[in-house]
Amino acid sequence: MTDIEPILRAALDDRARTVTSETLLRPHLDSRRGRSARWLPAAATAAVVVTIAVVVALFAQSDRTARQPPAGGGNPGFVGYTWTVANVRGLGHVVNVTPTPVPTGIDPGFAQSRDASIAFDNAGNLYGWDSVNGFSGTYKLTNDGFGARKVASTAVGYAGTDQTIITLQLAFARILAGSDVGAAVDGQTLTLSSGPLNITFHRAGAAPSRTPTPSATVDVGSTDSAVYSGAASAPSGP
Amino acid sequence: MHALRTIQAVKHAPDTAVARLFDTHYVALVRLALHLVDDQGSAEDLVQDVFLAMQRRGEPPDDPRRYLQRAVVNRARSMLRRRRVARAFVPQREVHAAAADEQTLRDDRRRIVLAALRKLPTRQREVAVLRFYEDLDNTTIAELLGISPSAVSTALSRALAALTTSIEGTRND
Repeated sequence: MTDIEPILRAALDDRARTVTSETLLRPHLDSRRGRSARWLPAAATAAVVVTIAVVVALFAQSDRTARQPPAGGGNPGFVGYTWTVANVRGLGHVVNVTPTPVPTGIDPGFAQSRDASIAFDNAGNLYGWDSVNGFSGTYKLTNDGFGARKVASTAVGYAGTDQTIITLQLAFARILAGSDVGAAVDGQTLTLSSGPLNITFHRAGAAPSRTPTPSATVDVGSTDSAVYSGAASAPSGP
Repeated sequence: MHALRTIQAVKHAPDTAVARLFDTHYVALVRLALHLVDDQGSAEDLVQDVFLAMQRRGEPPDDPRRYLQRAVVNRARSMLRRRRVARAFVPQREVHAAAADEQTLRDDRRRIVLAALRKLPTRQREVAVLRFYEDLDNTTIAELLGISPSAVSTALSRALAALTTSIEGTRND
């Protein structure tokens, strides 16, 4: 069997190298505008740079504020509970999840009891449901929240177009792949954050005392006619 | 807050903001587009259009690089669709590797794999290029294309299988 990946990478890199600033046919944006370029004063450029810097600083500040470690030391507030998803922000648009949609192909009776959720038990296990697949693993507390580890998932593919389901899958994939996920508890609400992503959860009750037995690769079929035989664990980096 | 202030920055100096993004990302985006549409002239046209559209709309991208990548992929898809329609009505020569490829790619296998890449279905080709040229992980590709991570895995598996077959088929010829 030929290992195609290095060949493909090399081929793409080779071809990409044929495009340089010297070989560009249209090196300037204004060459196709039909009007001469407008050069703004250097002061305007500086003002934009400063504005962007201020925005970045404010954003970083607000991000730090949102990621304040929970008060109380030992238990960070989200451990011991099951949390169901209320909304997802930061993946292009806000998705409100009430209730979690049911993909075709999944028994509605089964799905109705399985709102998209995550639970953290006191023994360091996490588990939940992303609207299509169940997952389980372990977590380790960090200063800001937690990092997920050894996550296994069922491997049902979803080829439908329901944006809420797709967003939930993307959101959970990112959270479960994150080594440092921000977690902030405010009363009955938990917010998990990773980069621009924010998932807000409502507390649904105590986490079960015993983690459901995870299966590393449980292919239980497919939904919306998808056929999926990929890796069962949460997507990870290259 | 972040998005609002970015909008204000772009509105106050749209040419400067877009021009800075152009200077930063243009070459990289042309390279990405080249892998999706095969010839540099079309790739440059496509990327120019992306920046012009961005300027017209005053679009405030939170993540400019991802925004631009997504726009390039979408426009490349439209361009390929138009080409297919045109070919249906006007018999044309098959588009082979650009001349630059012939000069640069001395390795036959690389040439073959690029030719096979051109024959992949659009989605598989996009996923393969984003994975092996842009080095994006499956989750990011899924976000960029607006599909599920499992759909990315499936497309990637099929693309690699097709490319492997093309290489091995040629070797057996």
